[in-house]
Amino acid sequence: MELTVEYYGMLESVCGTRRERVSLQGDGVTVAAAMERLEASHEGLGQHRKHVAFAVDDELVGEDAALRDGSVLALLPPVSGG
Amino acid sequence: MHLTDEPLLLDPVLQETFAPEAGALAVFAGTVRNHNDSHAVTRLAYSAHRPIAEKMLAEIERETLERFDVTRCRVLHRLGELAIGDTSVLIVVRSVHRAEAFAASRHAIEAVKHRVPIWKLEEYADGTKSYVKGCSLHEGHHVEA
Repeated sequence: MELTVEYYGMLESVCGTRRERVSLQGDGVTVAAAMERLEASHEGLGQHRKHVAFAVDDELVGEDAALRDGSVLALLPPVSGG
Repeated sequence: MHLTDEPLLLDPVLQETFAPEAGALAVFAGTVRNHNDSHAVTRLAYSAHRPIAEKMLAEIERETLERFDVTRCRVLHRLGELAIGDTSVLIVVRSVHRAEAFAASRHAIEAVKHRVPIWKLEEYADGTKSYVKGCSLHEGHHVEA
């Protein structure tokens, strides 16, 4: 399935891109499984994992959320508004 | 709308929130300061996950209205490039009496800092840039790393 991944805040510079398309094998892949794939292709992403929150199609989700073909997965590092 | 790329102006929000039954008005504004962690800051850029940030700011307004029993609550945040002194966040609370207005505005700004997907990129006098340490959304605590 095809996934769009968006990197916010400092993760944009960690991963060297703001947005990318990623192909994953199978249906019902979880956010956690997608993260393993992304960490393998972006050196340095893994060390931020425990502080990163996730959104799928503009809704905050946990790591066990399922992804579908065409899902937009957003990686949200610690926030600093205000 | 709670996010804007334009300068935040207080007067329109005061007009919008006018309530004759409210005898207290609390305004909190966050402004860009020229230093952070002993670095000289020259300007900032705020970015956001806009759809979720919009929802979260609306939720903070509703929650603040209910929890503190205030008459009006507006929470607005600026995005894009800001200069020193520019207003980054504006919170306007009106209530019958002052105590709940102070408490509600304090709650609203703390919620913004902990729960809204907005990121602050600082630019320093030496030309380097760095994202400010923040609060993890899913853990709800300040990240020291």
